[in-house]
Amino acid sequence: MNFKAYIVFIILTSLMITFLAIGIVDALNDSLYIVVTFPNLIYDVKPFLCSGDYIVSIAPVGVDPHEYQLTPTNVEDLRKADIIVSTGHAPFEKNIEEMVGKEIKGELLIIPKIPNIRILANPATGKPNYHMPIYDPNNYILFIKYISEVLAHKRPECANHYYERARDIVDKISSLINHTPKVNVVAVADTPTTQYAVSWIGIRIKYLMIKEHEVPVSPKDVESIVEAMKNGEIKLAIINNPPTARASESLKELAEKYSVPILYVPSPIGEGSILNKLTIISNQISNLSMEIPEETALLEQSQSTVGKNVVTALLPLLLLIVVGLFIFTKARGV
Amino acid sequence: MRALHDISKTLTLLFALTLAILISSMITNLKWVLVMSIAALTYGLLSPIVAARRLYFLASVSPHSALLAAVLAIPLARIFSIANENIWAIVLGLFLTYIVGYMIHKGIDTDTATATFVAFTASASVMAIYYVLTSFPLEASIWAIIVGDPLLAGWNDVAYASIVMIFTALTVLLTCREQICLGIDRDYVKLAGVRVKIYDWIMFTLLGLTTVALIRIVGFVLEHVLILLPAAIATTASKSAKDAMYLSTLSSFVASILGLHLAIALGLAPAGTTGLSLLTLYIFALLGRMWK
Repeated sequence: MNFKAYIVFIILTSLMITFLAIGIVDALNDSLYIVVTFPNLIYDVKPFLCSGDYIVSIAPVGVDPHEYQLTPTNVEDLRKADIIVSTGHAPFEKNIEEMVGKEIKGELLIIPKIPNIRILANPATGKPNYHMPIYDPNNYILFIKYISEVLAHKRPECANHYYERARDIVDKISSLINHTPKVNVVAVADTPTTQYAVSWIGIRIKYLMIKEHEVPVSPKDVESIVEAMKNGEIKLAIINNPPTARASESLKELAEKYSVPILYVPSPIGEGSILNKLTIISNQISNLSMEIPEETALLEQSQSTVGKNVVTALLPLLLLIVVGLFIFTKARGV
Repeated sequence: MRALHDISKTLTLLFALTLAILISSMITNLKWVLVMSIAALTYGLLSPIVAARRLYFLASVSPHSALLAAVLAIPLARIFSIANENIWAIVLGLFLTYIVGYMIHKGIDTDTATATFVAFTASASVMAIYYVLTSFPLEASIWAIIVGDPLLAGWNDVAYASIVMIFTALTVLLTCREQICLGIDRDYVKLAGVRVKIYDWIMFTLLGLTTVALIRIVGFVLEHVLILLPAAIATTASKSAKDAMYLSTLSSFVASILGLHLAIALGLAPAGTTGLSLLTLYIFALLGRMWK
């Protein structure tokens, strides 16, 4: 009996010592637990990390983060996080913002709120475009500098490491900006997510197949794109790569039909860092710049006049009333 | 003489429809006109049969099974590459519709069977949508299934929808007499020696097929309107079954084509303007009935 009691005592004591040791190691460990909301941000933040730092993404690779909902595992990760990097526009990111200060104790870094970040207006809606503003290399530099500051503040013993890595990336981006040929053209894009990736080259996206995420295509938009392609206003088509979405396929078809050069932009939420993606765009634009006719002034807008729109809307309305009256008289006769 | 009159009426209608398609395609994109016309004609032909069989509740529930089938088809097509999403959606959609058919066949009240079915499909759809959105690639656009994407349809979609329309048109035209009689007096038709089960099976197949096959073009939301309203207009303003068939097809077609042109002029989604056009025609029919 005594022997059994000794065994139990030894097991319990060893367990307590183990738990205590784990707790002490955890408390002494200064490594950072970083949570990013979009999986592609891992490729941009990981190069900074100091030994022992850990990074995890909320939305898994390959899924649409705009539709993602937080799972219990995600909430657990967010509770453990020292730093949370968010793009600040997907619904689940808004939920995270609400949880900060309550369940979440870590520092929330919202990309559009980084000082001096330039937010472009969506050309179709006129509203701010929050789809990955760090795809613009100038915004990317601001992001890199800002995140290195936050990391250095959280883990001062690795500050030099964070600053050095940031300098390396900023140098590479600055060199890329300088070496990429600039153009001055009006373009059409399949989705607004491409806007930041090309605006710094001088490409002005004026037309969009899909105005905003999951907004259905309107016939008027497609007709105005066709018209602008026909009259030569659109000099370039910007398509997400790979062009699997139906809007991308349709735009590719139109561009090929009207011989408009295509610039394939790697998906902002696809695999790879922003630096790699911008390098791909820069290489393409170097090859395409010979094909793209330059323009010095904007062509006259080819949009239909208000009068024409009223007439085209009145005609079907009149016909609808005529058919309605036919049905009305038939119903009266029943 | 009467048969000759019917043939000439049908030919006139066909000629008018073709002319409308041609004129519309000159004004706007031919692909859009064809896609909208095909969807309109398919539902315009099916709708009076739904009304005759008094299957309004089942018809309004069919888009729910179509939504579930279309969503589940996304992972199935990627996991088992033996068939594409369209084929998987049709197989699943028909299977789900046959479950209701079997329940009704086993003596369960039609409304009870349908209510049970919608409870299952609606719940399963929510789970399937969440699963697809959180585990499958970006190109799987659920929103396109819900609101419809007629303007992004390719020529493959036009061909696919045309096959569905031809199948529906032939089946409806060849079986409409029996389906109408079944709606009026099922027992009499049974006593007359007609194999009722076959016509029930045809009805369920048509509902399952048309809702699943056209859900990406028309959208889950508008399918309800396109299945139910043409027949509602036709039954309010027609004196005979044949008349109802013509009026249903005509109102569905007119609403779709004019809906497309209104959408172009006003920069709106065509699915929405089509629904509103159809509703306008229904209001005209109701007013006519009230003021006779």
